[in-house]
Amino acid sequence: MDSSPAKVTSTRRGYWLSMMALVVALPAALAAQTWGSIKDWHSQHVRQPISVSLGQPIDYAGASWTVTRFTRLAGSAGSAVVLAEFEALAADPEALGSVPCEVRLSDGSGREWRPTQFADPVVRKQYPEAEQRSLCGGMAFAATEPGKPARMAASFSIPPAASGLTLSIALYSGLPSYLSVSEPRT
Amino acid sequence: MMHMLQSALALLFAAAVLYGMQHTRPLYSDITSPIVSSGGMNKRVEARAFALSLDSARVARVLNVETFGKSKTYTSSGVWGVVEGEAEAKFETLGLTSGEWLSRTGVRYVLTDRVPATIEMMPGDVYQPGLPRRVLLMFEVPEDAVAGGTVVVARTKLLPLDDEIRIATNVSGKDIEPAITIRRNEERPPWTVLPQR
Repeated sequence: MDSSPAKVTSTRRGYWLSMMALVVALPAALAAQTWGSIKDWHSQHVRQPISVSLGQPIDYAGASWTVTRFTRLAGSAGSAVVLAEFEALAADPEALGSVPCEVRLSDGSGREWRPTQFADPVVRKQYPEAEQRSLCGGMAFAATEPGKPARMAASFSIPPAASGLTLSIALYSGLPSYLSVSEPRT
Repeated sequence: MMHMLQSALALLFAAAVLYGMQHTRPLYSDITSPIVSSGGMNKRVEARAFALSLDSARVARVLNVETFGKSKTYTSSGVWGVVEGEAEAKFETLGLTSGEWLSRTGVRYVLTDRVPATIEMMPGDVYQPGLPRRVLLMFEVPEDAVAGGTVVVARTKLLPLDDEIRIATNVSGKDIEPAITIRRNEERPPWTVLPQR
């Protein structure tokens, strides 16, 4: 075995170089391996709100959107009902109809409600035309003639004490941006 | 010579450690198993995404179901477990699609699918944050699985590392009723369990 000082130095240098390369290579390999997951997580979780006021039209995801109603009603069984109505004027409603759409209501403490499948009886009674409207998505756009807006609605069942409500409308083709409307002060 | 002995010992030690790790390695199903929150009857048990409390667990030999004025009798070679309580989502709207009766010996029984959907059982409902909702669970289990049974509820059976609530029922296996009737109501709560206790 050659154990001359020059050989030992060269071996040591090789060892430490390898160790340093490992410090770089290991995180790089992990990052390369998980890049797809990181991108997926980013597209699902990192969102940029576009603030809109009630009645103000705004261009988003290939259509002009207007939130026409955002109101709170006294629901049945001790709950409150929030009714949101909105419309979208799209150049190509058919293309927009194939894009998944997500409507949510959140409050100041970070709780999030999805629209209820069936509107509360109070909506049926006070806003019967809203009950006829579709939820955001394919159905609403399919029933629309070109040049006319697709009218949509969503109702939510929430505890009466919930405050600081924000309505969000997100089309998958428009992500990470989404429309965000705060509850009007009464 | 000493150097070689040291190397051999280090190699043996490493081999022993690797062998030990290989044989004590947890199964994939253990690593991804649900995160369990446990409790007893009449207590609100909190998981990360939802909370559940059970206030009634009854067992009967025959189950009668009354909907829209019609009554149907369900017999069984085992017994019927009827469990009621209240569930609440904490942060986001969710469904609770998985309910199981876990016997003392570790056998799991899923919710019965014999009862018609006109009776609102737990998986058919949607739970909104801040709005607690009554839940009904029904199981068909052998008589020897009743005593010391635990009700296990989760959002879904398929989601790894998700919440699971386990509530130990206080059913002894001796107080089996001859028959229980579930009657559909048009108002809330959407059902009544008879005879009332």
